Amino acid sequence: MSLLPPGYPTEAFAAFDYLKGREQLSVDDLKVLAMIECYGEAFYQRLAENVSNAEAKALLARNGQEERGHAHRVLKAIRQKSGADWSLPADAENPFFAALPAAVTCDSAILSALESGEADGDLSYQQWAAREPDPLIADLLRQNGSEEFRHGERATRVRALLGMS
Amino acid sequence: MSGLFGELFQLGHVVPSIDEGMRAWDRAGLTEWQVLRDYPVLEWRYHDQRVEIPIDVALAWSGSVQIELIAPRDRSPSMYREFLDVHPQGGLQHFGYRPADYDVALAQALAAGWTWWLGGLVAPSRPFAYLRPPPGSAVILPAEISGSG
Repeated sequence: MSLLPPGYPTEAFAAFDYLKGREQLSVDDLKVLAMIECYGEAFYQRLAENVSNAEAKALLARNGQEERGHAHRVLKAIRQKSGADWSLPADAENPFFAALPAAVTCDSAILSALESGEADGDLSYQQWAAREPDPLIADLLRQNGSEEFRHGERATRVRALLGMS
Repeated sequence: MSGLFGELFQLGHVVPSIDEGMRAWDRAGLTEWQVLRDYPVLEWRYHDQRVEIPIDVALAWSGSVQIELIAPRDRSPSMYREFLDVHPQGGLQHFGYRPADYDVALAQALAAGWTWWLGGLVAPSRPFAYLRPPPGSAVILPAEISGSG
């Protein structure tokens, strides 16, 4: 049985685009968001694997690690909103991992997509936070947003390190 | 050590307060923290007991080395509390590794005289274990190993 609630896209980036249309995040939305963040960790890990520059690799690995942290914050938001704990699935059960590429080439196109996507992620988190009535959840969403912005800045730094400016 | 656990990636510190710990490192130039308060660990096992250990965590990086700060949120018995009872100001408490195969590394470490101190599951299929070094060895800090997937 899929852990993805009915109606959500099965690809992580499409699912995030879908959530961007939400005024406020429901508990199901938050569960999907947490699984997207776990996918983000794995995506950055795959990306870092194909980078030989040590500093660039470390920056991408940091982004990946922080995506996992975002998932943990969303878990707290789920507990706060629903009154019940919910666990992150193992990667093998995360529905978004079915579309995780076996390898990701770190080229200019992917870095551009990350720069704009992370800035967009920050904006989405800030908007969800602004409309969220629970101040604790709003704070968690804001923290994730500001770190997504930082991820975009790191992608720009990776671009420079790899001579793609 | 690297043969047993893989590559060192983390210097783990236990501190009495996550905010004060970050401020101390800020003064040393480390400013990009990810703070995870009341970090949701799925399952804790302290020695051979199932326990709950509320903690705050902050993570930053110095190059490819992760600086981890852990602050217990209450007086629950734990390895972290044991450390703070001896070192109230906090400090470096463990080295962190991500072995290629967690189960193999754990089995080899136990066979080599390391002992389980604290561990469990951060999430399903994400185990971690703090291992005490063998008595009388030159290694004085525990190793934390973690697996993913």
